[in-house]
Amino acid sequence: MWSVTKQEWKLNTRLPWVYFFLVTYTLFVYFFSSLHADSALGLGLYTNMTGTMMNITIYFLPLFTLMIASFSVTTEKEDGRLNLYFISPAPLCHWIVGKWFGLFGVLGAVILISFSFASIIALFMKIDVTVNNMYLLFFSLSLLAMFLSLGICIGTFVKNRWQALTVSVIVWGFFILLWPMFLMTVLSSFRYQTIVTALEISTFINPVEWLRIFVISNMGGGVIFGAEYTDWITWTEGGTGVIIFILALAGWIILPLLFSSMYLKRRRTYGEK
Amino acid sequence: MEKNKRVQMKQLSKKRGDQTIIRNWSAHLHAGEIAIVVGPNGAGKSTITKMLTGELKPDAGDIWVGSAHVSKNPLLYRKQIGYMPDKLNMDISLTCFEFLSYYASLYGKKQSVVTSWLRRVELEPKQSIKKLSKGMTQRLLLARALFTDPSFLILDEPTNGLDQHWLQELKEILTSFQQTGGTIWITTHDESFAQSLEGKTWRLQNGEMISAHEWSCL
Repeated sequence: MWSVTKQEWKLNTRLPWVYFFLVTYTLFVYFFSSLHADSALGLGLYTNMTGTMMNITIYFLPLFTLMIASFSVTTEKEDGRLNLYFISPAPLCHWIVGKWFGLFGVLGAVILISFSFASIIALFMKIDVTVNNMYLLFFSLSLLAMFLSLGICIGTFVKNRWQALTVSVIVWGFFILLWPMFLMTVLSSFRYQTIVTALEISTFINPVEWLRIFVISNMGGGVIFGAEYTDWITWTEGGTGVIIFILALAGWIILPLLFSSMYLKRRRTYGEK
Repeated sequence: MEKNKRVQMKQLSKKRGDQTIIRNWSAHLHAGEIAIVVGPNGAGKSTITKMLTGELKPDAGDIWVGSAHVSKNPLLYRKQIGYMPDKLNMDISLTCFEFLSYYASLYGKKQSVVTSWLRRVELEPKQSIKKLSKGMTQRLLLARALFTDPSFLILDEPTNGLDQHWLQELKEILTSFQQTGGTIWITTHDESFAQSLEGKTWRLQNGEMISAHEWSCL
């Protein structure tokens, strides 16, 4: 498994986009850290600038991650390298998990370095955003982990990069852009008494949504969701919150990888038709 | 699977769209035997090769290498084959050593095996894949197929891009592999190369595998 991770790391760190992403992300974090210092006091650690930064992260990080992960798989398919792996005796789960770790290593390192750079520069400028940045770093890494799995899953089910791009945009559009409209449409067909429960359950169907609620609530900004919701999101606090967070995160990482593994295993055992 | 037969193909059939690639074909190969399949481009030689590697599923029929069936004992089957594809878009940012050492780790081989095979195919370990010519790429792929110590070697168009010197070297490598009891399957459109090898030769034509004997009588 580690040989796949090592190979993935080696290949990706030699690509120019990684360094472009590093510079862009560092500037992004730094600019928002500076603006954050000037923004009005918020709720706990949560300010309107933290919210804006989270929203921007939500808009571009999942799409970028989905594309990188799905392209990484489809490129290997198109180039014939995946078939060479299939022909080898190495276990399939090593390829999938190894790829996940490799990509998480590269993109995670970029995000970590960006936050570190930006925080150090901010400290020199006497702007203390360390705690906020820790939360945002945690938020970005969690988003990255889940969308990498989804991206790998997309890559295994599609045939080429064009299809990967299309499906990635659709998945991103659904979770990020269409989600509120989707919820309103679906929930309006429910009986009034069941709407709150349905809303609570549906939160976990969207990886961005539950993560956003968890992080905002832990930053002390839970009231922005409204009275009814605030009562419900008490699950995000304390030890239970941590357990629910770990379970949800693990579910969103493991399930897509499991589907990919099952699909590829079938293809590998019986061959393509 | 009958004893003493290294590779056995039984009642193989495969269609691609309207084109019949192969119809009800059976054959076997013993240890140390070479099978050569010739035919024009598009006849389906690579399709048959992909069925042998397990990449493609035959519409009907079975394939065994030793006692391993292609889909019933896939792990044991895969351990016995070495495959050189017709083409492979390798990652150009890697060196020859990095490319092979990745596959060495998948097969549980030591890095020293990689170095010795690179020496055998006359490639520099630190040479960038980006700068390899077609012939050099073929040599790298040949090394990739052989360093796994297979008992059944499958080569798809191995002569592409090779110069006269390397055609001769290829023959020597194949002969020494054959002498150690290895079985070889070669698909090629290069008829002069096919004729220069001693083995079972078939011509793939309109879904039929015509043996050299039948073909000379036509």
